[in-house]
This record gives sequence, structure tokens and C-alpha cells, in this order.
Amino acid sequence: MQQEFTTTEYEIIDKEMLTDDVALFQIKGRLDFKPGQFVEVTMPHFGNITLAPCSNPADKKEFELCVRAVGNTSDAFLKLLPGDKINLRGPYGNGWPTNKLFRHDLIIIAGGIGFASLRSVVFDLEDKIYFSKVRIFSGFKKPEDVLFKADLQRWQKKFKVSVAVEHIDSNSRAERGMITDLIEKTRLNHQKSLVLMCGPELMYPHCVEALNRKGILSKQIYVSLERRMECGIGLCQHCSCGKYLVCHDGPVFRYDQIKDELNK
Amino acid sequence: MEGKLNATINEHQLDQIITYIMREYDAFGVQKKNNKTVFDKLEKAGDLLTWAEKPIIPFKKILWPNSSCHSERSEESQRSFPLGSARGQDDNKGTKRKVAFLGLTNCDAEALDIFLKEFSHTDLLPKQSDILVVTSECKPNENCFCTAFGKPEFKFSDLHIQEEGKNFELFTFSKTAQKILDENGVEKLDKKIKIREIENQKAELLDLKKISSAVDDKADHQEYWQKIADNCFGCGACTAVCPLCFCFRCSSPFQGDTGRGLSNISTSPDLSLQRRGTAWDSCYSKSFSKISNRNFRPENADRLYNWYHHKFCRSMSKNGYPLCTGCGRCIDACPAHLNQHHIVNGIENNTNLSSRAK
Repeated sequence: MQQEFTTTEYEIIDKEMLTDDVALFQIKGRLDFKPGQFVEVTMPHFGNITLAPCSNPADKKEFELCVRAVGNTSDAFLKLLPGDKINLRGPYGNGWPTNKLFRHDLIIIAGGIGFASLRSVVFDLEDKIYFSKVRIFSGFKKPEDVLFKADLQRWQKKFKVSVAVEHIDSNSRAERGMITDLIEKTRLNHQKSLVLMCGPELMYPHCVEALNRKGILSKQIYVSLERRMECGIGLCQHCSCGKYLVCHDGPVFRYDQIKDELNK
Repeated sequence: MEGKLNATINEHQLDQIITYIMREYDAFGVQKKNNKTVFDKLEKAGDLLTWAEKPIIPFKKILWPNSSCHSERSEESQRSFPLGSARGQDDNKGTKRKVAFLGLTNCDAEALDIFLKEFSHTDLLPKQSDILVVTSECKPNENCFCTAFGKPEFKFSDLHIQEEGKNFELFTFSKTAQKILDENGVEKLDKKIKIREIENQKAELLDLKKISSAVDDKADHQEYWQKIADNCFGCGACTAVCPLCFCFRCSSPFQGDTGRGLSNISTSPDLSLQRRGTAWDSCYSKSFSKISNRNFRPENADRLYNWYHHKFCRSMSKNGYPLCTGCGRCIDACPAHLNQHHIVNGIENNTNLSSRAK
């Protein structure tokens, strides 16, 4: 299939500020994506911004993008309002291995804004009865950083959900600490487990180490990599990670296959 | 290499053929401008050089133009650049004209072949069949090392020209080229003779498998890369001149993204820079792998390593060929006098660290 840099125009229909610097945009229109895939949104005069759609992929009428303001382009995106139009390309990438999840105990590890990419996986699992053994570990820096609170509360009824917050006051219901602390405290069925992890890359080695100590092997762990992506079609080389191009071969990789490439 | 000699012609006949190509194609060729050898739009047949040193900026400036250059050109000269986003200039009948690249050396013709392969899954560049490639004899300089990749094979062009005294010998490799000769009434010889080999460059044959494996093993060669990086300015001159460095950024919006429909963001009234959405980038640039909260290649050693890794490891494992044809432009252009050929050759033994070509 010929790939082009053709963008499609979509309209923002709703915007919800989840925290001071994170907004959830509801976009009108159908986006046929797999959980974990990403889109490139073009911000005129600023550049591209790479985002993973975070809504239920089954929703045919609209989709959601979660944006954290961390630079000029994302700052500009956060200023958009309902009624504004955005141009986007994609979806690109392989997405989470949703076809391999069946008959596994799923462990979902989400750090900060990394939750956005995994949210659509959990939406996908919510209606499927055989995915009752799902454990969600999420970690945030401060209580006010916790994202998708309503979703977490709803998921608690069906799945085992644990939230760790690094800096916390005594009144909060979340646990003080890091995701690794949550992993250490929990009994996990290491043989049947499959881990999906998304967050800042610095957390991956620590979490993998904790999981390895629980008997979960690196080949049971899938991670989504965050890299600078420009073209999304495996050409521009910005997202190269050793022998892989994250946009083309990823962004989701099995940890044992990517770990040696991370520093190249 | 043995080739099928189709004709021996004189200078007048060659001019006639070039003029024919210029009429039928948008023709770009190697020529002298302001005492420099350049690859540019051919204005008249006599300008084409059939035996010259290679132009320092290769064909990619035509094939994959840098957008910032585009915005600086006049309207008229922009029309003369048919590739990149436009992919073929419209003629009066509204059909796309094909493009001819003349006077390429064999290594550049091979690089063009690889360049087009790399983009073949996109619609960003013309197809190989839409470009007529005319190669001519190469005049290698002291930095050329194409023979280090094996005996050059003249299989990347439609037509090869080699000088023979005051005459020119023409070898055709495609039906298109044969048709061009037919239409110009060139008398056919159909004689098998050898295409003159490229001058011996005294370059040892590179063991690409071993080099790829050594480059991949970063941990074992940390010191090697660091020592090279200590001498490298990180200026990216090598990436600008390399015919197979095509890294780009999509910093400006693509066509059609004019900023309309945005209520809360002020947009500049000058939208002329949005004509193209890509611009050349260099992996030596500090911001190349930077995202808002992390730079994945903070040190020059990391960036330099990535350049070699892309060319001699990533490309080898993905495609089975290196992104280098030994044209030696990177060595010509390096202000730190690094010799990329020696660096690649020395990786296996951690040697040639201080080799200087000049």
C-alpha cells in the first residue's frame, strides 16, 4: 500500500481538563485504530505531535486523545477548544498484542500519561468475561496528577486496581510509593502472566527487575516506547532505536527483544 | 564489466542525443557552474560533463529537495524542480513529464537506486521507471572507495557513456535507452566489449557482515566511538553531502494544513513556508532524537554512532545492503578530516582511530 503524508481533518467536540496540564479531547469522526497505535497531529506553525488514541476502539463515531503540555507543540494543542479543527495522519504502528492476551493473567502497568495508550486496551477488555484476571498498576507523582479517576473507580469493580503516588498526603486512598513497590507487594501468577507496560522509559528497567524477581520473564513483558516520531512510516529515522524504527517496528516491543537496543 | 556496445558517436551526435533527452525529459546533469562541478538543471547539451569529478552535493538536492531551499527560490526556478512534492512537472497537455539524471557516476547511480528503494513504499518520490539514468565514466579522487564494496557493476543506469579519444562509446541497458538511440538515427554496433573499469582505488574489500556485527556491538566498542567522537565537530557536513542520508523532519505543516479553524492560536499570515512539509535533517543535530522531556542521544558519541549504525547495521539487517556506495563525499566534506572509510574498516580491530585522509 502506498503511504502518503495525507492528513484528515477532524473536529474537536469536547475538552476535559484532567489535571492542570493534561486534557482529554473528544474528536468527532471514526478512527479505525488498534489499542497502542499512534497518530501524528499536525499543529500549524509548531510541528507534529505524536499521540496514542485512548478511547474504546469499538467506538465508531468518535475517539479521544489525551495530551499533556510539555513543550511548545503540546502547549499549543492544549489551547484548542471544542469547534477547532485538527489535521491528523495515521494510525501508525503495531499496537498492543491484543490477539495474544487470551488465557493470560494480564498485568497492566501504566506510569503517568502512559496510561493513555493502555486505556483503550482496558476498554477493549471490559466487556470480555474471560479477562477477569486483570491487574492494573498505575503510578503518578502527586495525587492531583492521577488521570482517568472515573475509569479507575469503575474498573475497580471488575479488575484489581492499585494506584501508587510518589508524593502523597495521609488522607489519600492511593498508596504512597512507586509502581515497583506495588509489584513487590503483590502475589503474581508468574507462569500465566503477560505484562503490558507504558510510561516513562526510565521506569521500565526497574519494573522489569521487580517483575523478574516475581518470576515473570522479560519475554512475557511488552513495552511501548516513547521516541521522537516525525514521519510515522519508517523513513525519517528520528525514532530509531538500534536496529528498530519505533514508528515502523513498534511502538510496542517485547522487552527481551528490545532491551539491548535501548541505548543504541 | 562486459557490456553491449551499441554505438560509437562523435561529439555532435552526443549533443543531438542530449538535446533529444532534454526535449523529452526534465533533464538534470553534471556540469560546471562558477568553476564548480554541480548537479543541476541542464540548459544546453554542451554543458553536460561526461568525465568529471563528482559534484559535492549529489542528486538528492533535486530528488528530495530541502524545503528551506524551496522557499528561497524564485517562482520560475521552483517550476524547474519537478521532484519532491510535485513529482513531475506538468507539460502543456497536463501530463507529468519524466525526469532524466545525466552524468552520474556508477556509485551515484547505485545510490539513486537505493534511495528510490527506501522510499518505494511511499508516494513521495517518482518510481524508478520514471527516471532515465545516464551514467558516465568516473574520475575518482583520493577519497573514493567504491571498489571496497566489490567490483563495480554498471547495472543501475539506462545508458552509459565513456569517452574514447574524440568519440564516445554508448552502452545501453534498457529498452528506453535503445529507443533513444533509434530515434536519433544512431548506427547500431551490437558489439560486446568491456566497459572501462573504475580506476583502482587501493581500497581493501570491506567485510560488510563482520562490520555490521561489530557496529551492532556497541558495548565492546564504546571507547572506539568515543575517540572518534572526540575528533568530530558534529557539524553534520557528512550528512548533507551523502547521497544516502535522507533523514528529514516534518516540522512545517503539510499541504492543506493552513491553520484555519483554530480559535485560540495566533497563526502567521505568511503561509508560503507551508508549501512543503519536509526539510532535510541531520542525525548529528542535538535535537534529532530529543523529545520534550528527554534526549535519547545527548552526546555527540551517541549521534555519531547512530550514523554508522544506520548505514552499516540497521540497513544491512533490514535490507541486506549498506547505505553507502563509497563515493567519499563524507571524507571530502569533513572539516575534522575524519576518514569514514578507515573508521568503518577499523571497527573490527579497533584500529585506524587517528587516520587522516588529507
